[in-house]
Amino acid sequence: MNNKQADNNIDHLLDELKVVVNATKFYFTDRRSQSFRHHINAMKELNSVYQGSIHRIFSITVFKKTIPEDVLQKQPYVIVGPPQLAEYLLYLFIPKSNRDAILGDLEEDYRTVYQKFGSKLALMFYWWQVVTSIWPLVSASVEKLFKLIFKGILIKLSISK
Amino acid sequence: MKNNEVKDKPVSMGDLERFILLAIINNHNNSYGVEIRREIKEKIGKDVSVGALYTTLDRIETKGLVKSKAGEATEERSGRQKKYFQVTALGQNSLNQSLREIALMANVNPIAI
Repeated sequence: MNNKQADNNIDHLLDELKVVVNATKFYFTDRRSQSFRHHINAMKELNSVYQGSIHRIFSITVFKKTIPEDVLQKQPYVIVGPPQLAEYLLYLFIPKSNRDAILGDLEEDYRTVYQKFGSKLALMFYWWQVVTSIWPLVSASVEKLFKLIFKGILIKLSISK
Repeated sequence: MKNNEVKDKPVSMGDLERFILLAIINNHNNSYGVEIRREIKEKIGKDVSVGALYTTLDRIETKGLVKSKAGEATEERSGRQKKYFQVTALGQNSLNQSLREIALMANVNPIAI
C-alpha cells in the first residue's frame, strides 16, 4: 500500500469515527473504565479533547491529523455549567432579593475561569466561592434575626410598662 | 428640616464598605457585583467572596449609602438579572468624611484626597 492509499484509508476511518462519536453517546464506553467514559463525554464538549481522544482510542499514529476547520466550527465550544450541588447549597442560604444577582455573578466568573484555566480549576473556584460565601450569608441572617428578637423584646417591655 | 439634617448626617463605615463604595465610584458610579469584585482585586489584591460582597452591599443599602436597580439578564448568566449599584449623595458625603478622617490621622493633607 503506498502513502496515498494509506492517507485515503485514514481519511475514511477518521470520517467514520467522527460519525460514530457524534451519533452515539456511550458507544465506546461500555467496555472502558469510568474515567474513560467521562473522557468521552468531555470529548463531545471540548473540541481540543476530541482530537486528543482519537489518539488514545486507537493508539496509532495514523490519526495524527487535525480535525478540519469546518467540522470544528459546526461544533460550538460548550461550557459545562457550574456544579448543581454547589448552586443548590448557595440557593438555600441566599436571601431571595439577591438570588439572581449572586448566582448570576458566580456563573459569570465561573465561565471566565473555565475559559482561561479549564474545567477543573473552574470547579475548584466555584466550590471555594460557595464555601467562603456561606459564612457571611449565615452570619448576616443570624444578625437580622437577633435584631428582630431584640426589637420584639423592647416593644414588649414598652407595652407592659 | 431637622429630620433631613439627621438623615443626611455622614455615616461611619468599615474598610470593606469603603472599598466597595470606591469601586462603584471608580466605575462611573454604576457597577454590578462582578465589576466591584474585579476592581477591588485589581486595585488592592483582595479577593472578596460573593457572599461577603452582597452582605456588605445589603448593609450599606440599608444605611442609605447606595441604591440598587435591576439590570439586564445575559446568556452567560443563564438568564439571571444583574443588580447595579449607585452611590447616593449620603454615601458620597460619608465616604468623603471617612477619607478625610483617615488622612488627618495619617498626617496627610486631606485636600489631596
